[in-house]
Amino acid sequence: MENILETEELTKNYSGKNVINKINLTVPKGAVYGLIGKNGSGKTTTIRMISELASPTSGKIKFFEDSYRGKRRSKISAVIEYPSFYPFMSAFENMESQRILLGIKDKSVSNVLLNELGLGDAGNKKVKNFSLGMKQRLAIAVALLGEPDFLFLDEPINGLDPSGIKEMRQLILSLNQEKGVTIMISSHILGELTKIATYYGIIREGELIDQFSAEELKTRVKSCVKIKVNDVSRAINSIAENLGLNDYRLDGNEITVYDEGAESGIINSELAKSDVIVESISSEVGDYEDYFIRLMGGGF
Amino acid sequence: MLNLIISDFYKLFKRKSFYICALIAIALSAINVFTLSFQMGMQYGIPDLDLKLLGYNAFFVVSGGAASVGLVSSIFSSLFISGEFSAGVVRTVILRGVNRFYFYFSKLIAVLSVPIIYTILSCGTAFAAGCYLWGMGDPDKSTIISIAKSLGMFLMIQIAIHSLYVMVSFLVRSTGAAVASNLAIVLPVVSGMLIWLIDYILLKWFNVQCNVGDYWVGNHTLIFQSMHFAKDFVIRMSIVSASYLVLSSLIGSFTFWKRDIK
Repeated sequence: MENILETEELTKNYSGKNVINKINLTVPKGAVYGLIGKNGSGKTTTIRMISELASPTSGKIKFFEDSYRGKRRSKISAVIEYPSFYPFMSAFENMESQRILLGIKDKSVSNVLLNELGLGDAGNKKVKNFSLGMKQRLAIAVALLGEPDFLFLDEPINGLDPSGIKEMRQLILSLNQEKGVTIMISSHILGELTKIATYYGIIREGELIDQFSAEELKTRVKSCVKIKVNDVSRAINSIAENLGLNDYRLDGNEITVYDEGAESGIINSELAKSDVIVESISSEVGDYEDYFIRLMGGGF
Repeated sequence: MLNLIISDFYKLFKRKSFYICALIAIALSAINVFTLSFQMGMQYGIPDLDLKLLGYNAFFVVSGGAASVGLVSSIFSSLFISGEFSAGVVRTVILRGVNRFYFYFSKLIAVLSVPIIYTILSCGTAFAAGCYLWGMGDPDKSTIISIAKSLGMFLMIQIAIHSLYVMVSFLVRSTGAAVASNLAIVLPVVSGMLIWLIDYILLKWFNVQCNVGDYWVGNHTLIFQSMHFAKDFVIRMSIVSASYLVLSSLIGSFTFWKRDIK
């Protein structure tokens, strides 16, 4: 699979301290990559280095499996930290200034993008009068000028109301699925991220501690049934032979069953038939947030 | 680079402050001419003296129109550059892969056009006010050449000093600090204290008699008031202005290239 972004040992040092330490990120083409980490873990610094706003102390950054300053560099766009505009200009004028800068000849593109982002009616309104949600959408409209192949979104749903969050999610999905834009998102709102991300990278204290796909996440965070019994070996034989449940983990006299379709009532009944005494049995739903928080090293 | 320059001029002309500063420059220019008329009358002890009778015409005050250009355009230039940083828009541009040197020089070109535009507007206003008060007159060729020389020297020095304003604005990055630094530090502190201090140190410690002020462009911002320049002065100021432009551009663009963007 072609990678759109690769970093090699990317490091940033401030005042003798490595705030980013040898990060090796790999973002596959077509992915929605969720960059997850606590406040101050180094997410934004990483994105700022990748987007050339901050220079790395050491390490390499490759786009499109090419050198950093490849010709396709202008095909990378971003909305970092907060939407930035000229407040004295209208949404359309802000779009135009960027369109001119990028040398896009088609003058209709600004209006087309504003309409696509639901800002068609607000095009002539001064940006200083925009709500945060409108600014977020305008920032993405500006970022989409020049049809980028890769888009960074730093905390894109911060400050949005529930309907704004839903709109943003749909927008990100349509950009990714319909326009084929590879997207890297850093966000705190893990529940939202798990609805759209296809890859994840976990940053903790400036280090990339793990990187995995959404499929892998599903296998890591499964629903399960936890059973405490008096006779573990008889219990395992019973559920394996009679119920066909083979995906389990043992911890003392506790059995955790991960098989899909494992139901606590049926397991309990089967164990009773086999004369196994069930001390406790409970179903637990796989929780992505708990898993991420564990990886990140605790709460935010 | 060309797209960047066009985009910067687009933003320049979209700024309300550009037009407000232009209006202030125009108004001050007109006020200067009317004040001159009044002052001259007072000087001769005849408040309603018609200066036309003394041979005054609009060409006498063309250069005088530039009096307020330096101040007004320095304020606008500081706002224009620092606004890129305070609004955070510099990030939107740089992350699209725009070369930082190109970014700096595009801003420099846009800012250097400001004193030129304001000078044209202000001098045009002064000329119009002069025409209204004393008529256009019939100047000889040498007068027109002197006016052109005077304005040329003025613009050359303004370009040099605005390149300093651009450098300072790129260094301090915040709007208030940029305006304050350019208005309150670059001109007054250097002109009033630093030059005197360097002269003193050179004389005291190295026994070298030198007038450093001759090489400080800030001391020549009122050059439009003079109509006659010695050849060596013209050469010196040309070299000094070019040096300021080159050095401040190199320092400004290099530090912008090296520093992270917040």
